[in-house]
This record gives sequence, C-alpha cells and structure tokens, in this order.
Amino acid sequence: MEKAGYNRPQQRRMRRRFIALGLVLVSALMLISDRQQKSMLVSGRLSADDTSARIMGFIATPVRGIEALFVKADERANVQGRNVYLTAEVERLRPFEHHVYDLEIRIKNLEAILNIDSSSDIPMQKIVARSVNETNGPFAHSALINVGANKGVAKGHAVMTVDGLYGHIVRVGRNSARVLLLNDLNSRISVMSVRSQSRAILVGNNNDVPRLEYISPDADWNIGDVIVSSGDGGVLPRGLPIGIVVTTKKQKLAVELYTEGRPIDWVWVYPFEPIKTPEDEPVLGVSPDEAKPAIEDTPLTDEQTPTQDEQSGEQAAQ
Amino acid sequence: MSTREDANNLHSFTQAFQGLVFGVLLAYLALINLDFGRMHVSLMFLPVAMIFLWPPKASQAWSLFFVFILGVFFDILTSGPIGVWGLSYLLLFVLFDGGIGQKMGTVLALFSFVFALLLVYAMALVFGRFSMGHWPDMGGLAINAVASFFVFPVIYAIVSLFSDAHESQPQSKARP
Repeated sequence: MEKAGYNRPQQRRMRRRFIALGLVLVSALMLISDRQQKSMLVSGRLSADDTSARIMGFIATPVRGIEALFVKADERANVQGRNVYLTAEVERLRPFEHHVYDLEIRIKNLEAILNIDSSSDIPMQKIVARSVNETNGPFAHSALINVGANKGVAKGHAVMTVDGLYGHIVRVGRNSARVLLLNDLNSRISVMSVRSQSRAILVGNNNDVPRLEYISPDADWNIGDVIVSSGDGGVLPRGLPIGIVVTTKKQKLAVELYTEGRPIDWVWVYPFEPIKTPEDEPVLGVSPDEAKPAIEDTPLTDEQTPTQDEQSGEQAAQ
Repeated sequence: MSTREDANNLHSFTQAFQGLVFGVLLAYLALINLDFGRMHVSLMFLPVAMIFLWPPKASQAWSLFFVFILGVFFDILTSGPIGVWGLSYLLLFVLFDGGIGQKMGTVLALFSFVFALLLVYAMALVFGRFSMGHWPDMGGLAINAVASFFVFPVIYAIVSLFSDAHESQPQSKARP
C-alpha cells in the first residue's frame, strides 16, 4: 500500500536512508561501548577465534615457509661468519657452565641447611602450541594459538618461544586461545633487571619496543641490562627472559624484545597458577582473620621488651 | 507482488550476499601477517576492495546490512576495538553510494580506490583514536594500505571476471 505523496522509488530511498542511519548509529554505539575495554561480543570473539584458528592453521604453514625462506637466506649468506661467532661463543660460555653447576650445588647445600625451597616458579610442564596467526595491526598486537581449554590452557598463562616471553593468554576458547603480545597497548608486565634487581612495569605501546615505566628515581638501570619477569603480583612466574634495555629517541628506557623480528611458529604455554590471596583460598571453617598464628602473639614482659637500639637494628636488617 | 519482482528481489539479495562472502574471504586473507625482520606486512585494507567493488545490482538495504556485518566481523577477527572497521566500511559504502568500482574503467577504478583507501585510513585513525584513547600506529596502518593497494588489481581482475561470467548468464539479461 503506497502512502499519499510518495511513490515506490522514493519510499525505497527513504527506507535505505533509514537503514543506513540506523546501522551507523549502532556502529557508533558499539564503538562507544567498547571504548577501552574488550568485553563486547565475547562469545562472538571466542567462536571467531576457534574458526580462525582452524582456517589460519592451513594458511599459516605456507606463510611461515615464505618467512623462513627470507630468514634462512640471510642466515645462509652469513654461515661462515656465524660459525666463527658461535664457536667463540661456546668457548666463552664453557666456564660459565661449570660456574652454574658449582652454584647449583652450593644453593642446594644452603637450602638444606636453612630448610627452605627457593626453586624457580617456572613450571616444568609445558603445553606445546602453534601460533597460527599473529596480528600486528595498528589497533592490537595479539596472536592466535591452536590449543585452548581442551589442553588445559587458561586465562593468564604465560606464553614463551625459544627466545623468550611472547605474551600471556587473554581469551580461551575450546580449541584456541588469544595471546596478548608484550607490545600491545593493553599489556602490563612487572619486570626486573637481572643485574640490579630493580623493578619496573613493561608497558606495551603498539610499537616494537615497549617502554619501561613506574621506575623509582633511585633505581639502577643501564642500557643492555637483561630483563626478566619479576613475578611480583604472582601473576607470571619469576625469571622468564623478556629482552634487553635500550633507549628510545626521546631518551626513555624501553626493551628490545627477544621475540621481536623473528617469525614465530611454535610456542609453549606455561600453566602457572597465580598465587591466591587468603581471601580467595580461606581455610575451611576459619576466616582469614581468625587463623591460628604459628607464633603466639603473647605480650612481652619488661625483661623481654627490646630496647630502642635493638628495634632500630632489626628495622635496618629488614 | 509479482513472481518477476520476487525473482528480482531474490537476485538482488544474492548479489549482496555474494559481496559478503567475498568480503569474508578477503578478511581472512587480510589476517595473513608476513614478518620480514622488523617489518610486519599485512593486507588489512583488503576488505575495502570488496566494498569498493560491491556488486552494483545488489539490494541496497541488504548491502548496507552485510557491509556492517563484514566490518564487525573484521573487528572481531583482528581482535581490535569493536566498531572501528564496522563504522568505517559503512560510511565508505554510504559515501560512495554503493560499490562504484565495477561501474568505471580500470584506471579510474585504481585512482578511486586510492581515494577510498585514504578515506578509510583517515576514518580508522580517528575512530581508533576515539576508541583506544591514543593514536593507532599510523606508519603500520599506512604500510598496510599501500600493500593492499598493490594487491587490488588482482582482486579487481577476479571480481571483473566473476561479474562478466555472471552477466553472460541468461537470467541477468532478463532483468528489467
């Protein structure tokens, strides 16, 4: 039924304009809703990731082959020089190997004397996965791996390559998982310098070299310092290799990642369980505040009360 | 509604759907990321080619909807902020009043595609800035746009070939 004053082409044009306007509004609303958070269309993202992992798994093989051709051609061109360099490197590292064995024995002995366990946080069990698609786009730096909940991957797990830390899991599907790379804008990793043990936060900035931020004024940082994960916050294991400190053009500290500039194919997911807070893991039947202390908090007598000198000495030791 | 009109509606719907299917294929191709040392090359603007070469006989209403779906799908695939590509594609489609690439000659299509790329580049920058709170990687985005431009002639040739084959079918000749 046609309205008075309108013919069908006009009606169609009006309908088109109405649909266009409606869809533009919906898109704009989606953009506003998703601002600074990736919580929209979560189930849609998971399904798309699962499907993409399968499709990109097929496509990734020849693509990685092409990439490897370029890398290997470069390596072959320098094979003579590289051989000399590696031989010298082996000779240089051999004394370190003996030193490491010596240190290992000494640490074990000290641990036995003190009755403590200072073993590494890095889990021995690893989940092997293939990085089927890496998105180094202008908006996000992430990768898709072809294992998910089916192999025990969970949100927060660290993902490593042979060179170093690649990122951590942010989304898990049944057969796939999304890895947030270290240089993504949303990536924040607590790191430390192996040399000075100084702490900082590695902040992704969508560039090749993420920045080091939240550095205390008296912290000791040098160019060339090796950076590892500090394990602070208990989110990631301590000691995962990340990269080397460099400076940016603006003379700010940044990190050249070990994983940057290399085609990534195989990765390892480290199923590290974050340290749970007492509130998350209460003792059954006892609230965290009421838990029985190992040492009774009894008031001290006058004879036992430490003097001011003793107290200041204890504080200095702490 | 006559049978002929029904057939025309179905035909224009399938044309629009065809655009979506090609767009999705290109979206997957656009995900391929080649790393040459420190340079990352991908073809993120490849779906723009499909919007530019959208079937001219496609239903406008359905096309708008499918372009929107394609954009949101690409947002999800790239794991970026939702709405950036969706809104950019939709505005490009509205500004160009549908796919204009197939209505012009090869040289003009190439120049127009550059204009389309520039438009989407600018929109992606602005919407990305709005969504993320800072400017996206402008250099990376520009490299992606240039790389997509070099692949465009291949897409153009394939779509033209497909469209010529479709035009030669008796059904399309019978359309009013």
